[in-house]
Amino acid sequence: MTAVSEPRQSCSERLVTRLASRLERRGLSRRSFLVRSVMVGSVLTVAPLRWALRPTSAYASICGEGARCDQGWTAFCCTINNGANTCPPGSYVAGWWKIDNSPFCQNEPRYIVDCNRSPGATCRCRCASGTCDQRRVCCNNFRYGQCNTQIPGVTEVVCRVVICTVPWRWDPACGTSLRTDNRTRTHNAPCLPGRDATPIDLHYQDLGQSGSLLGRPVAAEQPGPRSGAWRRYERGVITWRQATGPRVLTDRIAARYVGFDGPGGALGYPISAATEIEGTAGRQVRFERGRIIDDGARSFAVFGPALPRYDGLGGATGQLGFPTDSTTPVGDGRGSVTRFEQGAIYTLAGAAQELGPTMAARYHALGGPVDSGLGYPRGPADEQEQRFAHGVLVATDGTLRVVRGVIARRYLELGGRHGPWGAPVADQEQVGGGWQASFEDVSVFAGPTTGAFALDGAVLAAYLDAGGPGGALGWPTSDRIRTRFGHDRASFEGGAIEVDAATGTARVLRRRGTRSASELS
Amino acid sequence: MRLQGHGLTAELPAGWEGAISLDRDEEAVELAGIGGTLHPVVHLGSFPLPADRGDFGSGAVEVMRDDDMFVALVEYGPDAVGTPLFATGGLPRRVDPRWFSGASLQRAVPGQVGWQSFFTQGNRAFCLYVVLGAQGDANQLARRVEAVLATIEIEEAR
Repeated sequence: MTAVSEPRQSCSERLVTRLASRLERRGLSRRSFLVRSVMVGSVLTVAPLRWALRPTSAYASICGEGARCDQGWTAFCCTINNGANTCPPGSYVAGWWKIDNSPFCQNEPRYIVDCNRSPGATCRCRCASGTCDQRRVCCNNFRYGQCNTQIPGVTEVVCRVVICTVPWRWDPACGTSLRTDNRTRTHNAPCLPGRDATPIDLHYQDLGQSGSLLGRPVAAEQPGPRSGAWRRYERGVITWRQATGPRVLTDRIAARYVGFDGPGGALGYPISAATEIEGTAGRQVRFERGRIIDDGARSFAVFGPALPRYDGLGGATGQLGFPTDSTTPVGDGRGSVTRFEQGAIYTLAGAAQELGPTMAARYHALGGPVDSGLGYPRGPADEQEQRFAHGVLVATDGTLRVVRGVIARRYLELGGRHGPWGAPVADQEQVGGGWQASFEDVSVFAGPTTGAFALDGAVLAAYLDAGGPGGALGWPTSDRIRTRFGHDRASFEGGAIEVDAATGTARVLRRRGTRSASELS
Repeated sequence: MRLQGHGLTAELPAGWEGAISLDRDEEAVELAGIGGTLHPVVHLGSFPLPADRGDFGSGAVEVMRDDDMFVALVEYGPDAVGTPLFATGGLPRRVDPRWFSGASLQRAVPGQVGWQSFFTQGNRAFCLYVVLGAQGDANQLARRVEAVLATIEIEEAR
């Protein structure tokens, strides 16, 4: 036969009992005690008026009636299960009853769920200890009978779980037959939410508290925008808004959300549960202003104008794949970048433009919108020739070449790689105060004030022989042209070059003001 | 006195009180709107039954004397019919005092003993819960409970 031990008071409980009785011996009422003392703070916080005015112990205010072992009721699971509001191992959900208009559930029904010993498991009838919930554990052989009716027979109630969610939604193994016992209205435990519980407290309770996926709280509940709130736990977050109710985020998605400062940050409140991304190991949660997408190993946030663009391209199962970084502001403070497995999306002034994987990698290596000198990408996305605000990246023989500024503008005006210059064969280089770019069919020079001009053949050779932009001729001021006399000619800041079409002889014609004294003599 | 309602009938011996009730308060009706189901509860007692009682007799058992008896017949929804928990066929008419135990109570009350039986009858699922005021008188009290149980009639489910 099992034995039930006498209930023992904890140190703090003994302290409260001694204090109360000592004060009463001195003729101090409970009201006086309340006024004069700041001790037993949690009791006074929860129910000071009741404690002061009613002939009841301080612990009755927390644990309610029938909290002693010899009063016959069963203890709450969180009392004996390390704070977890779940059925302990070796027990199962066996039945439930409701308590109407419960102050512990914000005046909605509260449900007490019995966890009965599983057939074949063993447990010892005893009193819960360590808190004011000293009720019985594994003693009362009784069953309410709405849950898991595939299990026959009646076993001892190990402990009781508390929820504010209807049991048949909390656990589909529970039936819907309503049973009521309002005589248990005051029953509670220090490990359960009190009468001042917030919606987040109650949702955490219904999830199982420390027995849930969330683990234990790591911070106090924080207020959020628009009268909402949120709280962080070891492995997740609960947010709450009147409009949406509580939402739970777990693991990597929760960590990323915390990194973005929760509901007050760029994402706002969650507006969906985590949903699987079909055909992948990924999942995602939608927020007011963005989304966190998890590929099964990493989570990143995508928000702002990048998100509709990403969705328009098929999201994680589209051409860009999963994000490899969160949406990040560009250094100029004007735009943003979001990088993906197969490219990137850049945004500026509400517009978004994607880049394919090759373009995105090269552009990023060049320093992106600011340091590359290219500015932000302009559509459409083209892995062969991508335009930017101040330049172009062109694929030539498997290598992306960069052309910027006036040279890029002229190159594109002339038809790009299909135009007369052909594709660039090297990255544009800075020469003196200007630029030089080599294309398949020409070399293009752009001085600080001259514009971009293309030279080729003997004219180009003669120009380079004459020292190029750093020579006496300076920067070209025209393309190489064919004159009506059949000569090839180009003009420069300091003169011209003319090549006789018949002989191939090049003549450098210098402006008078640019000739040296020996040349003039 | 004869009690009748919700397809249940019981004849009360002299000195007994009883009620057949269906929770129809505002919250129960609201819960019925989101899937909850309402089913009758029969309470029979050899003592004055307080108005505020839990479905399994809390509030009533606390005022029982040693020679008192309390009987609760609690119905469940059709989903429970025929499941292993409710596999026993028919309302028990015979009550063995040896079945009663101080451990078989929803709430342990010193001296009291209880017994619980789930069964199906008339395609309806029930739990019969009996509390005796004292184990010492279990033989006599069990006979008196049997007499009451003999008067209970359960109609077929509609």
